[in-house]
Amino acid sequence: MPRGIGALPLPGPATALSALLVLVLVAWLVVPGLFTSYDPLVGDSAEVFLAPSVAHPFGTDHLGRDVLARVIHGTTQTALTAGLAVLVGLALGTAIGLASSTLGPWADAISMRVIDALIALPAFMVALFVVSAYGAGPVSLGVGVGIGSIVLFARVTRAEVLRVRALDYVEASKLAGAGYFRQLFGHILPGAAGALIALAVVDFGAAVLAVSALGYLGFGTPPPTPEWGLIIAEGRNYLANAWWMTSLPGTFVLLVVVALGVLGRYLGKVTRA
Amino acid sequence: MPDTTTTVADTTATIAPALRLDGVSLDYRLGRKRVRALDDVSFSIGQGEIVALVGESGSGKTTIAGAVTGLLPRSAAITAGSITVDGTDVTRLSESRWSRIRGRTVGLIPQDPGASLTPVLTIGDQVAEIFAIRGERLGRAERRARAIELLEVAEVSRAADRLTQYPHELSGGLKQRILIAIAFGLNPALLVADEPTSALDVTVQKQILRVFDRLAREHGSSVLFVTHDLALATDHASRALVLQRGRLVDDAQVAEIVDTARVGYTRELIAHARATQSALPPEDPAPAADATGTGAAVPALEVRALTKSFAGRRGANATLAVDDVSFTLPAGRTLALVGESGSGKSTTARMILRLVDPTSGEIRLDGRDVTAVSGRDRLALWRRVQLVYQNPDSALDPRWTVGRIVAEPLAAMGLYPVTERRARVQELLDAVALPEGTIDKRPGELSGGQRQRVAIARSLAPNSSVVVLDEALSALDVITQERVLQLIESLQRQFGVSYLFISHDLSTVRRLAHHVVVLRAGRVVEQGSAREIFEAPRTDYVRELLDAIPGHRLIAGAAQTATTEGASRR
Amino acid sequence: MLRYLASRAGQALVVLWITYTIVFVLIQTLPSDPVTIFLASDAGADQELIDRVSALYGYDRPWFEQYALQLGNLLRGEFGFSLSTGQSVLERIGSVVGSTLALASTGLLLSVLIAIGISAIAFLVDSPRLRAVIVAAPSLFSSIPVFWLGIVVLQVFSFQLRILSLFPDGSLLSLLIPALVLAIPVSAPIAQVLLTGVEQASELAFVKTARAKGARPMRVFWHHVFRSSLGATTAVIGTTLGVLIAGSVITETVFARPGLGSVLLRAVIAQDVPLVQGLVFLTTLVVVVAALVVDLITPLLDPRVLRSVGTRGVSRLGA
Repeated sequence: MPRGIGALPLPGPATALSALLVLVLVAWLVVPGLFTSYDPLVGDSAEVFLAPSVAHPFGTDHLGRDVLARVIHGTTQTALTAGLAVLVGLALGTAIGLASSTLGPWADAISMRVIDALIALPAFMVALFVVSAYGAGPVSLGVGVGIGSIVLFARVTRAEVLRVRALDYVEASKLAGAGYFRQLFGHILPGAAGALIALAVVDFGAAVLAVSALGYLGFGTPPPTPEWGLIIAEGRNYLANAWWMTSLPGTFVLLVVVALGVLGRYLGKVTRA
Repeated sequence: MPDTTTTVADTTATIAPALRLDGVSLDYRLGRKRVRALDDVSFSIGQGEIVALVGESGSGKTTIAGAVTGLLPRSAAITAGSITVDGTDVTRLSESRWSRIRGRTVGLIPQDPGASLTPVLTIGDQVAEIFAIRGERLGRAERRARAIELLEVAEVSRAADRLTQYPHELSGGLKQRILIAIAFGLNPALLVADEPTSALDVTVQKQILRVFDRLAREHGSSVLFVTHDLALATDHASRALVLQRGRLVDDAQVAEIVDTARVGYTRELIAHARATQSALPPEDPAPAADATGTGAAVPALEVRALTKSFAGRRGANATLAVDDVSFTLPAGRTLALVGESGSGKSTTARMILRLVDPTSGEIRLDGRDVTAVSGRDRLALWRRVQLVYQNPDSALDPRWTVGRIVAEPLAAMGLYPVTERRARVQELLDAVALPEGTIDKRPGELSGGQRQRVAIARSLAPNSSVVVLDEALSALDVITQERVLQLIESLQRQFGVSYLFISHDLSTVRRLAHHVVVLRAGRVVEQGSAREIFEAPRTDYVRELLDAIPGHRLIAGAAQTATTEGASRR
Repeated sequence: MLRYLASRAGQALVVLWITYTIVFVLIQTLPSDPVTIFLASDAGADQELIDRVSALYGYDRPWFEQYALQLGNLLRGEFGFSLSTGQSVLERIGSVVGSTLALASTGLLLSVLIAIGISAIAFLVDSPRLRAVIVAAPSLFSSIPVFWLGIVVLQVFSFQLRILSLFPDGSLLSLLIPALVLAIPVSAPIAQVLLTGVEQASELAFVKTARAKGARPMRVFWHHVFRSSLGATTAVIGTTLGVLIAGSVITETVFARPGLGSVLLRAVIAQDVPLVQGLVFLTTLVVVVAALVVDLITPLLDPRVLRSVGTRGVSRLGA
């Protein structure tokens, strides 16, 4: 962290809760079996459509599977696909942003036009286009969603590099005799990194949202493998008698995205200070 | 203190004072912390009285201005005491109640005219808004006529044309006149002027304050004049309140303060103000050193016919930012480049540092022509010339330790063996009188003055012979400014370094410079030894600049005190 | 002004050309051509049929000819032909696009109203707790999965309250409720921009001036805070069209409304690449034209814009 400990804004209760939720998610991702004893794929036909209870906090579905177990095991699919999307966006986006802000006026002009074009392409349409061309599945879904966030990373990288480069201390470093790479790695990139990390966290939340939306439409993992969007889609046919099949997993997705947003904004504040 | 407040209260016992603060304490909430901004502040302002509120940044003077106008940030809370404006208790008012008080009972002339007018509305809309607020239903023509009238009273030039203009099309001085017109247009009982001219050039500042003084007199307004500049306060107010770290430390008539300030802190402020106002410029011990052609010492820096033109946008004429500027900075001396904003002083400095390419002219450093060096060749130049920035907050990378920051020129230029660098850095930090242990701290843990010391240490690290001080004192508080100024002087004696001192502030220039070059619109108006410039200016412009320096009463007071002291001693 | 107009229009054309190129490159990276992919699932398709259809669509030509051919078609306003029905893209969506437009425009209108409402309340409300809740609303709204919100709303209105039929019946309610669901996420970025203005309001010097004049809170909000955020707000509305399109497609699916969504999703499932590609262009065109319109409106709302624009689009300033 850039500043002394005293200058750090302390995380509020919302930030602390968000961090806790994200930690739980990481645990579910690594060792889902520790958190539920139910099988996410095979249900008990004697236990179909059970309302939420202590034994089944999210209730059971039409096949008698524990919905919470499916959500816990579904973390893997959703998080990895969203993670792929962020990776695609981060890698290509920072590359474009760095090229535009450090390689001179021509590179900037070209990159800016590409950025303008990427802004104009509706992200959701691009994701669907990739899915239609490469077929449904987590990889094409991740890449498709990721293309949509390239532009975010490119713009933030460019803006941050330009912002930091205009600060007096970068010019002072030049006057101190530092060359291009010394300035870039010593001052500019460390100064810009905070905003990118914060953006990556927020974007991960947005990617979870997009991935589960496309999963809901049926373009992600084929059933019965659990994935958050798919779990909600399966509940759609039982709105009348099993509200919990959609409401509870959906609320959970909402909380995850909110938590990632809160955490990202906190990181942004801390690293910018 | 109690005796002065009672006298004021006595004289105005029959009518309510324009403003009265009674034991006011105020906290800001920062997260879960509470920070005290005002501590038991009491004073009052009589009807028609003009009172200055003086203090450094962080003293709470802007907080008082906010509390009196109900314009404090939401994190502020008055924890004790009461505020009465023109007989109305305003200590805890809701926003809608406040909106009825503001404007007509208490008005405000804001600090930053540049940002204080709504950017998307015309001047006409913003002036005429006060008629709507007063509930006057006027026809178009009448509204226009009244708006023009208000602007003309505040000496806004071409008032009728201004009505259809937007704020970004006007100069800062003009915007401040418009804001003054708006504030007086509502004819408030109490007017708060919050550093009304600190963002303006000195000559503009003087004109604006003249308009302000006249309107206040004509309207018989009571004024709370908030300023960091004691000299300005003594010129424009009859009484001064001195604030230090949220406490009122002095409340006295200006005449008394000028002669015999009783409070230690006020005396310190006065002494500093006097030192910068009336100090004789430093004597140049060897004025013949830069005489031409006699084999005298090579000057540290020589600039000949330096010119910079910027191409105009889209076929517009090219503008000359710097036009045929020549001067000589003798080794071990200080040369001040003085001018108002836009005078070309910073561009000149940046050309000397070869951060900007000159259009024509010649720059010689230690006798060597450096006009054409570019790219990595500038490294050798930057070993000799370094820069200290105006704002120490942005000049130091917040992620780096002080040790790493000061060592950067050593590391990047490959000076000193790696093992000796830390010792060299410590030596520099000692030279700028930073406390033990600073080397491992980060800029965020230091005060503004300490940060500027770090920047100065860095500028000396490569054993540079010329240091460009680009408004290096103007972001600091007066007392800090004084200490850094003394440090700069002592470093010159110690290391024989030459300074190119860029400044708009003639009072610090008077303290520091041996030689002064006055720039205006890119051209040299006048140059000479500091004594010549300050004591016998040859041009009207320089006379006007000198005249605009506030503090006439202070200096007059000092002269008077000196004569009376002399007389009594005799 | 004319120069400004021309340069904006020129930039819009360049943007369209680059988007075309990006999509073209994506198709070129496919392991085989779109026709092969489309017919792969069709057991009756033999190589001869594939070749014939490929020739018809021009996929047998070298890449640079394809590039020029398709670009030429686009310039003539032809967005391609569906592989499954052989109809042109415009024919394919012609009958349903009205329903989507009705949903999207109602949704956009509602989202602007929601955003203005949020920012006005945040500015006018005195209680810090209530304000904290209101200020948090946009980030909550942008985190809501639209498809899930649609399902919950359907559950409440159709199954619990029984005031909404499960399928659209042409009633006002059957338009308003999906439009409201759509408006929630779309309102988030708009409200965010307006709220930034409101949040800064206590520090903005010109707002202070307005308050110091004695203007009532309502007046300060409309004449100064809202008015000066208007340029940035219009700009961000232009850039939310992408979210609006995505939201419309999903909302249509949830509420079983006919429209662009059903055509698009069927095309994706069938891997009808030319049709999806055509729809991508069509929506991009809508976004670009909207951005152009925004660029032309913004200088009227904010006089600083014309002066401060360099070579870049105005709409990027606010976003």
